Amino acid sequence: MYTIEIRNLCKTIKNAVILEDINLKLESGNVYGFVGKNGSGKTMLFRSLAGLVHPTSGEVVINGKILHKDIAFVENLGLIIENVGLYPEFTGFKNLKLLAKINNKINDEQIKATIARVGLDPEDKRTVKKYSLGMRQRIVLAQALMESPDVLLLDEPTNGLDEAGTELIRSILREEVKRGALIAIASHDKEDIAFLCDTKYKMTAGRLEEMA
Amino acid sequence: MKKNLMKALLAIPVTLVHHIMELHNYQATHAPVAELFMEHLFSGSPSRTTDDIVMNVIGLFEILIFNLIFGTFLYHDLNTNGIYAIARQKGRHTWYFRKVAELFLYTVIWVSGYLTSVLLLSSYTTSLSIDSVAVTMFVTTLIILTFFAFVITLLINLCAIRFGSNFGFVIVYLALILLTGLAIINEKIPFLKNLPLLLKLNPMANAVVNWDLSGSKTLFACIYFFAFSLLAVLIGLRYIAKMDIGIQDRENSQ
Repeated sequence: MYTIEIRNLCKTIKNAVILEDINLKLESGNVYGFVGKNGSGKTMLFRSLAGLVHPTSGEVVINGKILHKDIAFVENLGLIIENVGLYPEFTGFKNLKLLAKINNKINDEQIKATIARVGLDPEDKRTVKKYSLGMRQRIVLAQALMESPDVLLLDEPTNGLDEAGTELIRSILREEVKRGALIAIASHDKEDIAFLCDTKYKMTAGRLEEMA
Repeated sequence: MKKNLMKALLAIPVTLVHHIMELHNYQATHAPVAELFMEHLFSGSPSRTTDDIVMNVIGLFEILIFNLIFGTFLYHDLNTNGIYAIARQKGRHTWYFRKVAELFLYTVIWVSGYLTSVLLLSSYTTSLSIDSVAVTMFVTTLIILTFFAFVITLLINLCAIRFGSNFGFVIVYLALILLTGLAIINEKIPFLKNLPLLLKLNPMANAVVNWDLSGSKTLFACIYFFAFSLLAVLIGLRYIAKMDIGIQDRENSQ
C-alpha cells in the first residue's frame, strides 16, 4: 500500500514559477489524471514526484518518508518522462535487460513477456534508433511496467501511438490498477484522462485544481 | 560496457599512429629504454624552454584523445538516456560512484595501453633490453598519467553537466592552456619565480613527468594527482546530489 503526499510544493527556476503551492494525496489502487496545456507544469510535477528535481519549497512524502531527506527516489517506481528515451544503439530487449540488472528483480523471460505485452517482438534485433515513434513509446512503457512497480508515473504515455496502441495501453493500465498500483498519468489529451482516471486534476500555470 | 571497453583499447592504435614517424625513422641506438621511453612520451628534452614545454605538452596528445572520447561519459546518462537507470538506484550517490569507478577503469585501460605501446616502441628502437629502471619509470608514469587523465576527464564531465558539453571541454582546456602558460612564464617573471608553490601545484607541471625525475618529486606528483582526483570526485558528488536531473537541455540552455 503506497501513499504519496505532496505538501505545499513549489518549484521556481530563474524567477519563473513552475509549480505553485501544490497539495495532493495519492493512494494505491487509484488512477489520477493530470491534464493541462504544454508548459502548465505537469512534467515538472512528475519529475518532482520521481525525485529527479529538488523542490524550491515544500516536500513530497512517500509512505511517511520525505523525498531528498529520507529517500532519494521512489522505491519500486515505474516512470515515463516525456521526451526521454532509451539508449538508441541497443535493441529494446538489451535496453530493458540493462535496466533490470540494476535491481535484479526479474529474469530474461519476464522482460520478454513485458515486451510482448506492449505489442512488440521481444526477439526484434533492430536497435531502438530504428524504431518508429510508436514503437519507442511502447518500449519505454515496457521498461516502466517490467518490474511490477507499486507506483507508475506516466507522462504522456500514449504519445505517438495509433488508436490500437492507445487502446492496448489503456487496457494494460486497467490491469495494473487492479493489481493495486498507484497510477498517475499526465496528458494534454482529455480523452486519455477521462477513460482511465478516477480523480482528475487540471494544471494551469503551475497551479492545480481538482476537476469535477 | 563492451563498447566503452573497445573505446578504451583504442589507445593502442592512437599511440602507434601518433608515433609512426619514430618507427618510420627508426635507427637502432644503444640508449637505455627508460631514456627513450621519456623521449617518446614527452617529445624531447627535460629542459624548460618555451619550445620544450610546448613540445612536452604536445606529448600528452593521447590524453587529449581520451578526454574527447570519455568527456561526456557521465553527462550522457544524466542529460539524455540514463534517467530511467538513475531513478532505479537507491540514491544518486550509488549511480555516481558506479559511473566514476567505470570511468577510472577505462582510464587505467587507456593509459596502460598508451604507455605499454610507448615502452614497446622504445624497446624496439634500442639494442638494450627493458630493465628495472625502465619498469620503475613505466609504473611511476602510469600512476601519474592515469590520475591526471582521470581528473581532467571527470572535470570535463562535471563542467559539461553544469554548462553543456561544448562548454565543458572549452572551460577545462582553457584552464589547462592557462596553466601551461603559467609554467612557461614562471622562470621569466620574478613574482612567479618567487612563489615556487605556484609551480609545484600546477597540474601541467606535474603531468609532464620528465621535468622532475628525482624520486621525491615523482612521488609528489603521484600523491598530488591522487588528492586532486579525490577532491574532484567529492565536488562532483556534492553537485550531483543537489542538481535537478534532466530538467533542461543544457545544449540549448535558457
